[in-house]
Amino acid sequence: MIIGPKEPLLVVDDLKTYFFTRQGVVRAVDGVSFSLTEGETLGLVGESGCGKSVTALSILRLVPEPAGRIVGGRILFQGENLLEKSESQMRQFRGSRISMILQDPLTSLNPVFTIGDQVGGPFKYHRRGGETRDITQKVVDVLKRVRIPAAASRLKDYPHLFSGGMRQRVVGAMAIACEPRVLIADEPTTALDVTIEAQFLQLLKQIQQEIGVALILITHNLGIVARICRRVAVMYAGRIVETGNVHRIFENPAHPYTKGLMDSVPRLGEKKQRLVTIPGQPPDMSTLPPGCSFWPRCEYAQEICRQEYPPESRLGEDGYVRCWLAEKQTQI
Amino acid sequence: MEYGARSSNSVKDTALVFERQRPRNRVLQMLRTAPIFPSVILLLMIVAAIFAPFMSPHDPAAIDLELKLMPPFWQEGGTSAYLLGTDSLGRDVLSRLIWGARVSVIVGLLAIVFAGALGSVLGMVAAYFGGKVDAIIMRIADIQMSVPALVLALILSAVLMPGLKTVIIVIGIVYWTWYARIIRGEVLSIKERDFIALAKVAGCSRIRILFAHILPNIVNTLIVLSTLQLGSVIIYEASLSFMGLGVQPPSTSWGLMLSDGRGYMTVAWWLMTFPGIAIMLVVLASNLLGDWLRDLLDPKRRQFKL
Repeated sequence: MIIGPKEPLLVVDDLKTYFFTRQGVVRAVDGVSFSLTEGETLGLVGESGCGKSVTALSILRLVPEPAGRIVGGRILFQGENLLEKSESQMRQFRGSRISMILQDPLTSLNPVFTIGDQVGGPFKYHRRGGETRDITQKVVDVLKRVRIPAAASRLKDYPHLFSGGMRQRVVGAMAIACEPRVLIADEPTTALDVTIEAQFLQLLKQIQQEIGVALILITHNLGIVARICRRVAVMYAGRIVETGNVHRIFENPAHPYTKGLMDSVPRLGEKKQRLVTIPGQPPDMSTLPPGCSFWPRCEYAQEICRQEYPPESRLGEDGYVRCWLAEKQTQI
Repeated sequence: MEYGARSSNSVKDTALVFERQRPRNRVLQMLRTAPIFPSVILLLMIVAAIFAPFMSPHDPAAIDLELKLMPPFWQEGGTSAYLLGTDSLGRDVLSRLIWGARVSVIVGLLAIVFAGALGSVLGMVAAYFGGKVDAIIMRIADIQMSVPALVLALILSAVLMPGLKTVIIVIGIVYWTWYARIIRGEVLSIKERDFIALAKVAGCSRIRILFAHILPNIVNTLIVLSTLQLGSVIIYEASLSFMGLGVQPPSTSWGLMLSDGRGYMTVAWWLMTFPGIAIMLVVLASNLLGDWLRDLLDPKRRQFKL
């Protein structure tokens, strides 16, 4: 592996995806920026509804229309702006260069087709497979890559014959079939039980090393992030509030929200009476308060937090935090 | 490592067992559970429809006024040459029944294919694209369903020339709404499932998703719906022919036979009874077969292992 600064593979720059509903405009993603280099793993964490999944869908340009629209920003994939592509050009990217794994393996596979057919699908759409016989061989190869036992004999099986963990592997096989450069995993282990979850993450990590794909892991599970990500971005109310190296964030979280997240993870061996929680509710995204969107729940909130959204304050090599607290500290 | 190797072997073995039991056995096993009565009735009807020229003892359109209104063979005055008697023009009732089956089968199948194709494509498009497309298609269906089917048929038959083709078109136009509604509902639930989202992620076009990913999921519904509607289509054809809007003489159909026999109901009971029984049996059979298929294709009701 090459060490040192690399050309970013994927750059998301000031992405804004809004939903226009009868209740008003929901700013699901409001100015998110991050970049990803070849083979890197980025964890995207945050509460439900903070815009993680919408960010992922925006990268693939699959935001549910007509309510949702990408209203601003750039998404550069190998230097090309995906937001300027036509729908048919976009299809060339989906599945072949950028692909995705969804939450629920039980509904991620079409119940009426065999595993062989479904995993072979991406090869056919993107004409990567060549002849039919070659496709079968490639399907077997990719199923072996996700460690499906006796892959060749299971091609004609239907999804209901597979367990949840195995189905998620099949979904993974479909996602990596065309050797994408970016793989987005949207809470891939939420529906799996804990032992299978560990297995699947292990597998994901191994595959990533084998084919050198960059991984965006969307999750609300900090344990997973700690285990397999190098960099983390914490999202709150449609914005990235803190990003940086995973060790730095875990040892020394700068944003009060990140701190709250870390504290609310129960740890073995600690004798606490109650679980620590972040007070209040996640904000209603259509009526965000002015200023920092976290201030109603923040114990350090000051006057300025209510008025203006904090700028990025640099932290470490590649991180930043958006909080007035940190901003003031750096000024001093 | 050894454990891993062993477990993969056992998986392989089970997979092979599954493999061996598969395709042909499954079809046989399914057919074995088919209900006898409806299958026999429908088979008889299809055989009669295909082999009508060979099976019917007489020419169904041959008029011989000397033989008119002969009762069935077991009644006084009947002969074994005309098993079910003759009508007011001396035509053999049995032969006409057999030829009538042909019309029922043709109309039943073609009208269902027509209605099914029209209705399911429109229903799928309405559900998948939603919004205005959905509103327009489904409002047309609603409006059409509020017009009594027979009135609609009257209007359509007046515009088009009465005949076999018209019957098929009319029935197709009357029945597509049922398909559209049911298929729309199915597609609405299927299109939200993750595998459709994944198909989008994999770069499939909308048309491809609709026909290659969603359509196979509603085929079961389509088959069951079609069998259940077969009976009602046959009755509808009979009513159209009864009113003179359907098949025109000298061709024959069961509805036309009912209509012809109506005037002689008091003197020749067999003219209306036999076509009536034929219609009843076939409709009953297709409904029973539809019920069986529904249970068979619905995994939750499946009684045996596939």
